[in-house]
Amino acid sequence: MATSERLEDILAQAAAIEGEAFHYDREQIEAEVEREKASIYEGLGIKILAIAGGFLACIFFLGFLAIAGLIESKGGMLILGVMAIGGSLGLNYATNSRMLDGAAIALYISGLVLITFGMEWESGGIVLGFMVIAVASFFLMRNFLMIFFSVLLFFGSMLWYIGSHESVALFYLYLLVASLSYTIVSLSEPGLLSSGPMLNRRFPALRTGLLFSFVAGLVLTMNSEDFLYGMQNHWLGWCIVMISLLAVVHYITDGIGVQTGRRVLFFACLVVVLLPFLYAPAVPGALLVLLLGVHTRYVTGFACGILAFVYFISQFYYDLQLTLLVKSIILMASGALFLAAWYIIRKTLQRDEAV
Amino acid sequence: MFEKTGIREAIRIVARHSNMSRPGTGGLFKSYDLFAGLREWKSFLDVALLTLGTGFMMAGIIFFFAYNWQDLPKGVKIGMLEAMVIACGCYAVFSRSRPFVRNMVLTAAAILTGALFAVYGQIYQTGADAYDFFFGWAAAILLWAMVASFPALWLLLLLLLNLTLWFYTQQVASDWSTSTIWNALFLLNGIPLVLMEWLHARRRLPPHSGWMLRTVAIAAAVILTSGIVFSIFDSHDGGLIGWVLALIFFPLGIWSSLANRNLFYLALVPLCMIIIISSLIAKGFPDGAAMLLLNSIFIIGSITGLSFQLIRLNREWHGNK
Repeated sequence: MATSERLEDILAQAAAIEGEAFHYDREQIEAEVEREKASIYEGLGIKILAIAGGFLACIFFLGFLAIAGLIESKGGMLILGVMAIGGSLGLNYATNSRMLDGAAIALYISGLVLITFGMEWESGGIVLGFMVIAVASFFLMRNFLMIFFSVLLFFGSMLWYIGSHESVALFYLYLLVASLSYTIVSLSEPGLLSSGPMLNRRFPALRTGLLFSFVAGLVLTMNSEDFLYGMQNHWLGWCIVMISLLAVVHYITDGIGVQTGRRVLFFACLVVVLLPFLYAPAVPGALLVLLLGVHTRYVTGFACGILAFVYFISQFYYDLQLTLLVKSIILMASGALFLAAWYIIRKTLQRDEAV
Repeated sequence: MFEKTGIREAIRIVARHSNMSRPGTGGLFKSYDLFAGLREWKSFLDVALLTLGTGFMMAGIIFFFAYNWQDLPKGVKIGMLEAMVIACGCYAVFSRSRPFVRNMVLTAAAILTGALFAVYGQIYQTGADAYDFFFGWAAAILLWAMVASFPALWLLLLLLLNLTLWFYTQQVASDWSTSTIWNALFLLNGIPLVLMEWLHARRRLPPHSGWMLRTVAIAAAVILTSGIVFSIFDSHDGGLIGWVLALIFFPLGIWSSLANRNLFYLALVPLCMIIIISSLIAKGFPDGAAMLLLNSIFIIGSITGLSFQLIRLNREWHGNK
């Protein structure tokens, strides 16, 4: 179906659902659809180019400032840092085009690095400052990548604070906030899109930023000894992730009309299957990302979920303090369990389809 | 499963410029099936459980033989693996299951073949070098890979060939220069890539082969670019062949993207070129500060120009759909 026909169809459907109260600005809609219709064929190539170029240019630029002796005083670095972030914001405002993303990213990251070196390393003020910059950027920036970076900056600042204060309790709070916010934002897409232009425009970048922030938290649970000394009680992380996972499974099974009895059985099976990973919350976390990716047809989430799942499972078995023989028995038993589940589900579906 | 991006984007724009309510937007999401339904979940569970089951089983079997259980007789070890390879092979050939299931089983047989060779080498202390082992493994599964028409199996074969060549250069051809090794590795990936792209353009490859082509292309680009960058900084290592290969393969990539109206190589090849030119600037300028400034300006300028061209081309190709 051509874009114009599809748009007419969507408008007709919306009018049928909303009734006479439905009002829309046809001119604006047509203009924006016209402008954006090619972007769905862009893929990730241009974004990856901008990020890679932005990071490379930032490294060279900071190297230049250091060698040329332009950033010798802390005050100078702070001023230059604020100017760089202001420049990035200005660039973002001057043009809405994605072609300047690389330059905007380079300025933004350079600004953050300069501010970091311009302030005291251990001060909580810098974390607070970064969070303020992140929130301000989120509302002021208009471009996908810059909004995405501002979400990452917000959660990254939280992790920095947690790491520097070695607060295990705060890390679990981070995991709770990241898992719940990614889950809620993903499942509330229709609500957020209709809540006004501000969130509507920022939704894709917000979701991607939350996805990467959550996955970063999961990665840290797998390498916890390097990040937080003394983080042992992982079962709490498992419980936190399971809250979101069970909520998502409930939402999905409800949506496809699974009966209550079967649903309870499904929940019980899921908890039992994931119980061996009580001390590796990253595994159910990756499953959560994967399920949300499939449910919302979100290809980045789906790909991240697969990669995270493979990595976390491999890491889990690698870290187990067991002999290869015992590990092999556990792996083969799990494999047999999955194949049995596949066979049973396949047969059940074939029987259901025949009926 | 992910083909609804256009509709989603259109609904997002309509919601932005209208007074559409939350239930209204939810209703549109339902009408256009923007959240996965029963059909998608069925096919997801089918693929995911089979892949997970096969993956865990293979990992378990490999761990089991890696443990090298001394109490288990030699004949039993080899016999078990041979029986599994034969069983998987027979299932793949004679079963009436769907091609995907049979191909998964054949991939399992290909992995088990490697385990069989490893156990054989372990028991009889054949003294084979690592490259012998990987070459034998690759040769044994070559026919299956050709017959199966399964991207995952092709990727496994290519990985084994890369490992063969790498260990050969480390254990036998230790007199090869670094850039010769990079170039040989590039050719090993670049030539099959050109062939597969040619087949892909003629729709002769199985559906969903794109991810494999992208993986091989990125690997080949990284190898070639690394070789050239290495030769720039190491003046004793002549890197002329690397430049010649770039002159042949880079335009082929660009041509492929232009012919197929796809931005992939148009982004990948210029990115490699930007890295190479940036290395030349780094090598050519003795003054560190000037080099760093020039490089940052060059990278920002080239990335901006490239993004501009890519966005323009994409609009030209897909703006009228």
